[in-house]
Amino acid sequence: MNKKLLLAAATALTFAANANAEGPNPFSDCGIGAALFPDNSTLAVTSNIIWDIGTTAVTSATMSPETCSVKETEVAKFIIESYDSLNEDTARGEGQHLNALLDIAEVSAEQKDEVVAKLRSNVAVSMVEFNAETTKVEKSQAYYTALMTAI
Amino acid sequence: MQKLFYYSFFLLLCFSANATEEHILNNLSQHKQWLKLLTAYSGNSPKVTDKNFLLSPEGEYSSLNELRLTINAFAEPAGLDLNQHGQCKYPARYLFLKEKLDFVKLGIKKVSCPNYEEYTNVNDQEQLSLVFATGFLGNPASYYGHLLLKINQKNKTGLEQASINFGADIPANEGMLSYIVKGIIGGYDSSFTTQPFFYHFNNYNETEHRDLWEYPIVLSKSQSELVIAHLWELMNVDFQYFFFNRNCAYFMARAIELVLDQDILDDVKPWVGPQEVIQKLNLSTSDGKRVLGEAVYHPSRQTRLYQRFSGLNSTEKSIVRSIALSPENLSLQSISDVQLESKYRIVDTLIDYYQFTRDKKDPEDKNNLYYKKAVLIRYQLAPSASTTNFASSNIPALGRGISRSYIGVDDLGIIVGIRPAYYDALDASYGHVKHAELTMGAAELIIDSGKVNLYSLSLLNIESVKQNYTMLPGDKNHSWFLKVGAEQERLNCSDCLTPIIHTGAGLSKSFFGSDLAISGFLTTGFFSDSLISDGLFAGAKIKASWFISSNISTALTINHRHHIGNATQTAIKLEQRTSISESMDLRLSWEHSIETELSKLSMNFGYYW
Repeated sequence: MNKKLLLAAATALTFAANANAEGPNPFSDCGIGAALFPDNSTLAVTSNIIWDIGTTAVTSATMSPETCSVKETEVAKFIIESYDSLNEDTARGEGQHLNALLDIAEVSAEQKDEVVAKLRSNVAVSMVEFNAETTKVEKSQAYYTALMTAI
Repeated sequence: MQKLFYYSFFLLLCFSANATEEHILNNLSQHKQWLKLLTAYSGNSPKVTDKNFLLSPEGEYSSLNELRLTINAFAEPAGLDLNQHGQCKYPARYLFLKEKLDFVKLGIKKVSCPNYEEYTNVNDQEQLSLVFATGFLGNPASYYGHLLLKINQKNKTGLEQASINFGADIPANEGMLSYIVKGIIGGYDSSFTTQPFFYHFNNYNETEHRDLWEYPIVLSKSQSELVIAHLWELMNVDFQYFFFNRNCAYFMARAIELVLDQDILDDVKPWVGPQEVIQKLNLSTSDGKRVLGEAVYHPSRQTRLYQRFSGLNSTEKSIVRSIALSPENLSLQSISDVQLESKYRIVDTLIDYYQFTRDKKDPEDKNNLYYKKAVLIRYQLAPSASTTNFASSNIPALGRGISRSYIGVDDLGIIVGIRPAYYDALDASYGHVKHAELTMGAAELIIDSGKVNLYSLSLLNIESVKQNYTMLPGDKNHSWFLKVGAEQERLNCSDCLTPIIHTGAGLSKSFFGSDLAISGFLTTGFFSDSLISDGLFAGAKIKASWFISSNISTALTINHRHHIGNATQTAIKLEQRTSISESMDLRLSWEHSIETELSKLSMNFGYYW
């Protein structure tokens, strides 16, 4: 029963995020997921050399100013690259990865407590749905949506 | 007549002015800092191999010609893309020349450089940091650690700030052998590149489990500006890469040397290590002030797990062990009996544990599920930052030099040896992996009855000892070693040098808070001076190394080899090291061969530099 409730909440959250979040989702609309993970390989992102190629790919995939802002793209890139550490910081409500994300997302010091509280709640709900097959891009996308809803 | 006099006087003045100008330019073109800006370190020709970096046409390079062309480029009118102007491409040359020449007289007007100005919008103090990543035995290029620079940009958190990396440009899918050979012989281009610091931070801290030490570089604002400007003009410029001495450590050090009171490197030394650069910078000054500030420590995931586990009380450790052994019981309920602070410590340790042990690429690995559960439990607790204060006394800027020379005696003669880098099981200290070994290019000579012979040679000797400090399932203690070189065939011989390749895999276990490590390996290899099958062997090796105190360490190795031709060799070696001072030690060893019943005693006195 509890799980059904959470599932319903997660679905509602996704709809709410799609309705509320301003602008495109960089993961789905700017091609950032595909650009960063051409073969779904984590190594492709963490390798310095391949990262250079990745950056080029991201740049070309997100050049269109009317679709993707620099800020959204930077937020998405940070989430996908730091996902686990960021998620752990979010669970704790504090940490250097979370602080960096809020800074990139231009969340002010006054907004921070409220945004973090909402973000914790949103991410916890979305995480329940993850299973062994959920990819890093999907997790990052869910986190991005949770953040946009919280801001 | 009077007109002729004035005319002659005017010509003389012009000539004299031109001669003075020439003299100034000539002197300036030989200025140490100018040569460094051209990457002509130690006054030699430029190290840069990128044709686009130098303004002089190919074959016409001289520091004077480059100076003239730079001045001309600075005086050019700005085009549509300001970032392409000479002043924006060579901001360090601009800063340097602006102090030395009259730009107004030369018709040079300041051009605005948007990209450069955005990049170099740095903090008022400590504008630059040097980051040392500890060694990583999983990748040959990372054995000796790595150096990065971080630009401490204004209005950005540390993770967002720009970092500058120097590395070889390795083609995708390069084979390991080709990678090693080309890296050593200069088969790759290399360059400085920039990315936000978090890319490197996550890679080193999370993926490769390497601790990071971030040292602020304390310089005056103008000096700091010059170094950053120089790094900017070197960005994406090609250099020839050599693993041993034209590597990240060399080029990072050369860039910082621009403003040091004294150089820390020379071009003659055949190797340069990242830790050596940190140690030398720690003793360096700029304008009489120390260059390195106090380091910020960024522990790796593995270190965090070990320190968190170590900080648990016995009840908390027992709960963590119980959950690790029966992870299906992991729930908020399973920790309901302890105080909230204990809950935080237990869950944070479990998060690190599962993150450290899980295989992210394997969806079947249940540790992925347990990791998610642990994080979700943390979400269910009230928010609270981690309470563990991570610390390490393993400070890379301290400690001995990376090279060791020694002189000693054994039963056969006088021994002189050198180990260019880096450490062994007896002297692993600051910045090294305890109980592990990493040496390259070590050689010993023996003077026996007036003859000098090569006594032993170690091209490569790596022993990776992993200790499962927590002793929890999945905290693996897999260890391995690889030795390539040559050693004497028998203990009583000084001219029977025989090539050896020896490798093995096994397990290690540590005791007494990791002061004692015992490893067991199954081994194989080849030991013969001719390519015969009898040289092939299989065997076993047991090794115990013990740091008895801060100055005394000892190691016992029992090594058995069974050759295809049924010959066997069983050697016992007992070594002891006593540190006399930070840069000197005394070593004693006793070796014995079971089959031949030969023994050998030796002693050597070593100096680290």
